[in-house]
Amino acid sequence: MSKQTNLDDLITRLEEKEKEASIIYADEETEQVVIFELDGALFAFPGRHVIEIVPFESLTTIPGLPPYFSGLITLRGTVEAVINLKFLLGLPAESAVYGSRILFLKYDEQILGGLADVVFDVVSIPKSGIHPPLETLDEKKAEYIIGEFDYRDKQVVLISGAKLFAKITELSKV
Amino acid sequence: MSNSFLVFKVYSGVYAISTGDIYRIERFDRENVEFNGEVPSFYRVGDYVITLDWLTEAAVSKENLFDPDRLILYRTASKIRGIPVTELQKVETLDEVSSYSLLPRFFRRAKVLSWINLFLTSGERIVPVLNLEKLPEHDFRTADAARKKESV
Repeated sequence: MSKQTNLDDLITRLEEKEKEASIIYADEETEQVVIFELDGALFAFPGRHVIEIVPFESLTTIPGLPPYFSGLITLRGTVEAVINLKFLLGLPAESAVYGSRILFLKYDEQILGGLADVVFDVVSIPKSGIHPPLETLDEKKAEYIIGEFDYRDKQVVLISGAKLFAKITELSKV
Repeated sequence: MSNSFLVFKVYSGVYAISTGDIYRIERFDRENVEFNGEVPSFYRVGDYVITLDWLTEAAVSKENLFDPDRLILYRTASKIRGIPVTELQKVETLDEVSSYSLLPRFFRRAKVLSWINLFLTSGERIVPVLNLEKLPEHDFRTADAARKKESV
């Protein structure tokens, strides 16, 4: 067998493997996720917690608001708090820019907004494709993270809505 | 609660107070300010000295004491206190306010925003209405420094 044939064979096998990886079998349990970017890295929330995504326009800041909150916003006449995800995840917390989005999350009848640089996609991923987070993960991130999965050759960090709400509730009681 | 609110600015922040809670409004005169060290904490009103509530996280010092234009005096259960105001804006009545909104659920049992009774909302605008019973418990000028030390 020639070298070229070997190479072609290898490429074909790799392509098939890649195709197989992107196929979700009907009987496989999946999780819908909303993928977004923060400071150049990809993160995701489970889709069941995301109720709305709105363009960032302005936030009202008031004195005494803890630093893990970016501000307040009205969502159909109701004032909701917007959390500073970058601060909570230990990323450099710059102010929001044009094109930023606010993802509104709902958990246990409570609503919170989270500021994201860009919202990329809403996809269903096989639950088997979610790997546990690395043990070397930064302590601040580890508090909220369920696991990681691959998306278009990039690693996406899946954030637990429940853990995030629990942490904010705990911090806000002070 | 009264159905009209005085909307005012303290530096870039916009706030509202129920007009029924206002004891008096007078021109802010820096000559009447008394300092606690470098901090302008008290104000002489006739024979009395009242405590000032600064609705800002910015450091207020002798240098920027020219900024306040008016002083809103309000009465708590036992004392009269004052809020230095940069600009009085307008009185809004119930008809002019699009809607009221309560504090987001996260904050209802928290101390951090207990100085807010409710919000007046109109389009994108969110104006906190002061809870004057709780306001004296907050000192925002020191809160900022304390929070910077806090690690989440």
